[in-house]
Amino acid sequence: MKRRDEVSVGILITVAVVVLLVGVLWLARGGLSSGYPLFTRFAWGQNLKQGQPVLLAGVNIGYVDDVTLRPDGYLDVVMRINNEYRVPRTAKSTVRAVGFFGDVAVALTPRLGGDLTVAFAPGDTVPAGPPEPGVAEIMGHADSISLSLNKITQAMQVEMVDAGGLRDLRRTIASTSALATQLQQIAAEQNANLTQTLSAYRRVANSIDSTVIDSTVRNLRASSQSVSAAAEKFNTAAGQLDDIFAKLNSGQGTAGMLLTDTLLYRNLRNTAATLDSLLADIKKNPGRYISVHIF
Amino acid sequence: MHRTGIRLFRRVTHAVVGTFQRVGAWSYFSRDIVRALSEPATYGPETLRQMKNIGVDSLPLTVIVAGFIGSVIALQTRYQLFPGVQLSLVGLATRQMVILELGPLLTGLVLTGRVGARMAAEIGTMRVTEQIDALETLAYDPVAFLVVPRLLAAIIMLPVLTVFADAVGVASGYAMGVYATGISPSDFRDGLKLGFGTFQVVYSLLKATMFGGAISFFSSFEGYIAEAGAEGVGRSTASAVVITSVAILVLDALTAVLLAPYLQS
Repeated sequence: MKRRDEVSVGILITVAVVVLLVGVLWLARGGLSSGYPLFTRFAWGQNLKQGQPVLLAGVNIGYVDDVTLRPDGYLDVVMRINNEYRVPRTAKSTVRAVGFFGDVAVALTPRLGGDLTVAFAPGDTVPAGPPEPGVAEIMGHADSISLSLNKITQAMQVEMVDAGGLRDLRRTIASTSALATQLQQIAAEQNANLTQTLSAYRRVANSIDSTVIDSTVRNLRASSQSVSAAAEKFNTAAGQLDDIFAKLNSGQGTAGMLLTDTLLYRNLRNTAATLDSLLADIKKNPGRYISVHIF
Repeated sequence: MHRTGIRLFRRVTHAVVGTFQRVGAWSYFSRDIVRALSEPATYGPETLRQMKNIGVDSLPLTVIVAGFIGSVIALQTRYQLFPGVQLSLVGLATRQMVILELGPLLTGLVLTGRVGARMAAEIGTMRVTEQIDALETLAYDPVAFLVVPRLLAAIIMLPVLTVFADAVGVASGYAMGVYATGISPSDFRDGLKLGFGTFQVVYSLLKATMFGGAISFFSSFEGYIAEAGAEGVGRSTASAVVITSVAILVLDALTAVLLAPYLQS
């Protein structure tokens, strides 16, 4: 056995062991520097695995070091954060989809406007934020939208195609088009008439003499003053009439008593009745009252 | 028709009996190996020499094969991806294929050709030139002197070579992915680390250990039972390569069936 063979075998095995250790450490822990741990907790069913990235505001700052299934419906997640990064205390952790095939990452999102200078200490627990909708949820919504669209399409097929709705719609559009054409014609005619009217008005306005207008206005002002004076007189007369009517209503004076006292009315009725009976008696027995003597 | 049937029956019977006979011979050979393990003074020095032959001398070939395989995996994966798939998948696929499957498997198959054939030829030549008989005459246990050192050396050095194969395969995949196909280094690294568990490396090394044992066992056995003449040595060498290759593939499938569920992280 040559000494050189022993050395070469020893070197080979030593290098292999070093490569193995370094490689496993690098793959499992994200590098030879260990980083510091942060913890968080999510509900079951997040598809989390060891090695998935941890993002701070979209930047990869570490990886998921361990995921422990708890019997109470939660996952304890250990995140290993690179030493050069600090996670603000306002951050919340969510599980975010990063592809079409169910791959996820833990996203740490600081609260906007919060204090970004105070950071989590190693070993702290980052509170979990509200879960983001996953691909399955989005696909579920897409399915429901698709179903709704299908129903709408079927209804459109029934109402618009089978029941002749499209034909009616086409007719309505044609009628509307014809109506619009007529309205355009009418508008054009009215426009022409209006133009003529305005021209005539302009001509009339131009022909009016301004001095005549001035004298007319003065006359109108004088007439208005006369009307005002007459109105004042009328008001005075009306006041006097009100006094007279007040007296009449209260039964003052002869006219008032005539209007309010019913005795005269009864006397007149009695007198009229007496006269009626007298006339009847005269007709019946004229000789009693009238005696004609001739000679 | 009647004779053809009889001839076919004889052949089938002969094949079945031959298989049982070979399994029995393997069992006796295994027993001899276990018995020979009690003689470290006999196989100790030779084991170190065989480790150099199997490990150090096979390193260049193993590294070359793993380098090409890793780079081809990265290249193929990159160009099979349709738009929208994250490119970190290239790193993930390269790591999984190299470490879990192709690293140990190709190392085993390469060493079957290079080391297994050599073992069968060496031991077979010693058998046909009656050197093995001479060892027995000198009260040396030929199994302890010839087979056990090769077996131990292969069991130790195959995992060592597989470590290099895995590392070089992943590194060449990284180089090809980043420098030839435009994947960003961070994407590739993210894929490499995604879902990695140390059991994946254990699985790879476990397979390599089994492959090393299979190579040395079947190759030594085929050489050990070589028939007289140069033709017998050639036949035993060819049988060693074929049987060992098949055995490696069968072991690979068995380990996948038995251990793959534990690989899910």
